[in-house]
Amino acid sequence: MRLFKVNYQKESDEQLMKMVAKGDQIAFDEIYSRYAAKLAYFFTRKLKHDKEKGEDFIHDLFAKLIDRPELFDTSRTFKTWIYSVANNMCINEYKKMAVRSNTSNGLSSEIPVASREQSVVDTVADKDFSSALEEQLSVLEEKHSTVFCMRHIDGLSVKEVAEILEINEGTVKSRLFYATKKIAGALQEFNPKLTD
Amino acid sequence: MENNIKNIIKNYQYFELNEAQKELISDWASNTDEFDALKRTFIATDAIGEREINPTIKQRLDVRFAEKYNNNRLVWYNKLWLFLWPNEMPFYKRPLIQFAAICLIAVFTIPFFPNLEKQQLAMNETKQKDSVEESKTEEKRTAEKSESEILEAKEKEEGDNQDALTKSLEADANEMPKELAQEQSGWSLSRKEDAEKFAGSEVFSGSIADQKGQTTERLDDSEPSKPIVAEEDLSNDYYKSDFDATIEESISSNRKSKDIIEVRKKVEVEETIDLLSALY
Repeated sequence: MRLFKVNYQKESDEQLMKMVAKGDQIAFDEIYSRYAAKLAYFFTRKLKHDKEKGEDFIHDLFAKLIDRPELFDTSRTFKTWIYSVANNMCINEYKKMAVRSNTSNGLSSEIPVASREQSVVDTVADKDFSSALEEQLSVLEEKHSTVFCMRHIDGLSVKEVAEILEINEGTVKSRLFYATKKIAGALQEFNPKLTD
Repeated sequence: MENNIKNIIKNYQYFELNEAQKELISDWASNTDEFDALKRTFIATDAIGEREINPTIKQRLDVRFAEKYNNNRLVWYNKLWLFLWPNEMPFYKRPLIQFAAICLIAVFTIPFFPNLEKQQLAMNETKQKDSVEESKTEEKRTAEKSESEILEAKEKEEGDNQDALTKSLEADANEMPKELAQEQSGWSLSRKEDAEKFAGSEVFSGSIADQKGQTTERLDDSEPSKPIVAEEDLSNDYYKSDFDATIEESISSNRKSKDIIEVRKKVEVEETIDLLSALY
């Protein structure tokens, strides 16, 4: 029994999950506010910018937290655990989509949504730098864009990315280097000096 | 990518970098254009990454959460309710009705308690305190009294002992002169008889001086009775006065310890023995 009021914003994710398991609604709200927006972007990006599907996945993920909080592996950090779950959900979705399309590469992550040149031209012409970056990310291979997003957008460390994706840290570093160089090289065309 | 490289790219311009920093980021950016492209990329990644979510998702999740965890609470309430209001029991046997009846009885009977005003005499507490203090003082007094009584009893015992001693001493003192007097008288009688014998012969005359030289005897033909008087003085006045003094001293020293009295007693006995031996 706690003697003092709990400051939920200062509590760790793991502690909040323990409270959620005991039926603490405020702890659940805090977890949701910390991860829902980031995971929504993660799902949207991984699911080819399908926003509705991304929201459905967000709902399913947090519904799992509510229904079975004991699934949380306390030996791991909550951040890596929930990203692992999200990543596995996306992988399962890829498999389902592959079965539905009856093609081996129909919705494979390796197939770019749009051609690189078109996106760069559209970006330079119509959109700002952020949208150009997002488009470049979508052009990248899934494995590279995933590492890049996890490291630079979601703010995970190399070690955490390696743990979530279940790959070596060296692999993460090489993929990250490749993705960064490729995006930066592509966005050199968006340099204001050049456009001026 | 290490955080320090990212921070260098985000916070500096390429021309601001020193050689060490340039060498550090050489794998990532070898010229100004690459450096600026990376800088814009990293700044842009900070801006993106979060997406607004439809609020209905949160509402649905809240409902789900409430359904799961409030059901547990309802179970707890239901258990309590089933205990208080069991349907299988008749109305008047249900615990809630019985608790309510007890409460009503208590509420209606408490005002009729006769001791309510007395209970307000919580002033009694102070009295009780006073009584407690009085009892304490009484206990102290009794303790003091008992101590004084004990002391008095001791003093009485000592006094009685002393009185008994004085009485015994007086009794001894009274008895001793008589014996001595008898002895003395026996001695004087014998002396008288001798004197009469010698007086009848009219041959002997002279004087006898005792050791102290206080008494003189003259056995003359003309005054045969004088030595008797002197003998009586010796037997009565000297010894009697001496014993009186010792008795007075013993009485006056009654208040002193037994040992002193016993020593004095011993001294008296020794003196008497000496005197008797001297006389004989």
